[in-house]
Amino acid sequence: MTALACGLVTTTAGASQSTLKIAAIAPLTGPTATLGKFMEGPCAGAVGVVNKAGGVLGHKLVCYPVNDLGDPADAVANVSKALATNSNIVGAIGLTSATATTEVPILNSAKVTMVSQNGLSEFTKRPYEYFWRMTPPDFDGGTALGIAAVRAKFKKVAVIIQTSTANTGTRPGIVAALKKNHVKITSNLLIPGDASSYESAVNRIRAQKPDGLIISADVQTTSTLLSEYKSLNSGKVPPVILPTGILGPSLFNGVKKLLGTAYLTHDLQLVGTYVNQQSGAFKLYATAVKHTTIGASEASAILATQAIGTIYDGIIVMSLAMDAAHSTVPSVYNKYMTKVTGSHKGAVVVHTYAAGVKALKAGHHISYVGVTGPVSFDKLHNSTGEFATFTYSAKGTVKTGKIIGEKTIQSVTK
Amino acid sequence: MSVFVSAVGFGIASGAVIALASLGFTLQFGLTNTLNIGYGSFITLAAFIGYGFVQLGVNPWVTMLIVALIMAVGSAAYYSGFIRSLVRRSVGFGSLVIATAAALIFIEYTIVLVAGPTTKSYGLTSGTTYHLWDIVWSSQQLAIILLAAALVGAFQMTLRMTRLGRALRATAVNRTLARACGIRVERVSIAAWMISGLLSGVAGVALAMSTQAFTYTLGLTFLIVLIAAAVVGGIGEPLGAVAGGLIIGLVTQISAAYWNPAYSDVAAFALLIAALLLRPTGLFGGQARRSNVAAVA
Repeated sequence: MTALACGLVTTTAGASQSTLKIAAIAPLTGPTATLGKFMEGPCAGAVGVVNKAGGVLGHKLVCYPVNDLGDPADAVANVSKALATNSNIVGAIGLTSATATTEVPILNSAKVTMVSQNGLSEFTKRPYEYFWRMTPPDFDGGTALGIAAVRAKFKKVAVIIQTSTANTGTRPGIVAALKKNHVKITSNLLIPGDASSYESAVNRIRAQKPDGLIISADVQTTSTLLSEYKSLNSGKVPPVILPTGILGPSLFNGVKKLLGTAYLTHDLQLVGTYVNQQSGAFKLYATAVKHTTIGASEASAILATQAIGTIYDGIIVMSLAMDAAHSTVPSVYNKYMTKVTGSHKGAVVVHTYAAGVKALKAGHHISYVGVTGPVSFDKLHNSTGEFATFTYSAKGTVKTGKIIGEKTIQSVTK
Repeated sequence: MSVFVSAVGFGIASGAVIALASLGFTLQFGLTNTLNIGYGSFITLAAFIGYGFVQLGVNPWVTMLIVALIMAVGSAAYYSGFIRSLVRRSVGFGSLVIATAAALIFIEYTIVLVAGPTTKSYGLTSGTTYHLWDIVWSSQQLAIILLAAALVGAFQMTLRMTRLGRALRATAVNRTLARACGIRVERVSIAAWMISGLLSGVAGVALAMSTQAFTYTLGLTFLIVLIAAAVVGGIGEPLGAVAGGLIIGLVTQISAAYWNPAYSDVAAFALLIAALLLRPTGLFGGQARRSNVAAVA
């Protein structure tokens, strides 16, 4: 049982109908359970902040974990069951890339507003009324990985991608960015996840003598790859660029033991969406996350990863939309998601839930600028942001490096 | 040519672990006609128990020995307490397979409950690398290959030269006749499950050492491969399981060297289908078991 699930037992045991649930739909068990575990802090932090400011229209919020196991078949059953047995689910967060394709239509049909953390390209093409996203598409994520390789001055790059739903979009983005910047792609391999050995694939890769690697795979696969590369390449592993999706203590400890602290701090870069850690919103978010039950190293990883920060912002935006609509019913407040975000003439910019509620009560229009920066939804309810590179310190804390701006991404994607 | 030879080397290394695991699996089927899907969870359990000992600072090879002994006892208890109870209640073959699949899920989620869902790692380095022509093996891989060869050799010697071995072979051929000849088939079955548990313990720790990082789905992911190896070699045939493991290891690595690595498992299972079409009883002519379960009383 995750701490979030334990928290649920404690919370809902005393919950009444005045309590509103935010369904946190994520893999809580399985190979991608790290994602679900990372959502615990921001979710609990956001509802804590909202409840401290008086709740939403007098109602307290709670996070309600729904374990989709990272599998579409399990997701359908568990999400459907959650909706059928809980009449007070007013919003949802999570819905990661592996399961969003099955979960989004269910929640949309049930008219539940959702802020999804998936990056699938299909949601930049197909509209869902109750679907909102503050996470950039996987193609943009791949582009950012490629641009990081260009900035690291790699001339020859090996691209190694684990077969997965999310990587369907990531891989073309990486290739597009590298080709646009005339970087040679020495290998562009798809590999199965969690295999016991990748030696033949590694041998092919190292034979081309890349000066950098881009790997998009889970922690287990990445660790096995790097270990075998080191073993087959006389102890040397080229610098590697990884997505922040696998950021966490498992990666840090594994790479440190395998390749040493020097490699970890100098040759390993992670790329993910950017969070301005100096903003007022971020400071409140960081305080909220640190006051939850997760450990310090996980808090550090969470706070560096914007995709996780969108969970916090998503709950705040949904809460402000409910306040603006004077209703907790999703079919009523859903259209207010754009009224509390984006640029509106005369809107008061707010960075916290409490400030937003105060401004609304004073009769102002508001525009929420949160942890993840300005939120501006397009016609398909997508709001993308900036990317950045991240590196580890020797102690395991994550440092933000250079920003990869939206225009830089768009120079490749458009 | 060097690519091919390198891939052969990698295939032998990965095949050694598959061979050990599939030998244990086929032993269970050969002696007690039990298609134990739960065997995948034995491997996972072995990896996690080993993780506990490694975290305590125990040498990984000593850990492997300890875990093998624990799994030997555990496997015998699983057979005596679970499988045999079901068989005595006249549970059919198909239902028994489902029951073992349920056991796999139960054991794996118990592991999640105790150890958590996150990735674990023994944190070991692979050691010195040795080159033999174009074959590259780390000292860890070489040790696992030699250990696998030694265990298979020891098992074959046990089968051929000891009373237990003769009893195992007799029971596998005809349980009823073996009992009639005075062989205590129940004890022989328990001994077979202990040996299979020991092999699963070695395979689980070896797999955890090889993959660098693992989760509770380790055994489930590996189960399909080792069943394929057992079937290719001839289900119920120990030497067949070993040969099947090596063949599967070689095919996956050679196909990864020349084709798309994402489809290396496809190549292995295409081989499985071809092998079954050409030789349904497997390479070593394993016994084609019917669906009825052997009596255990």
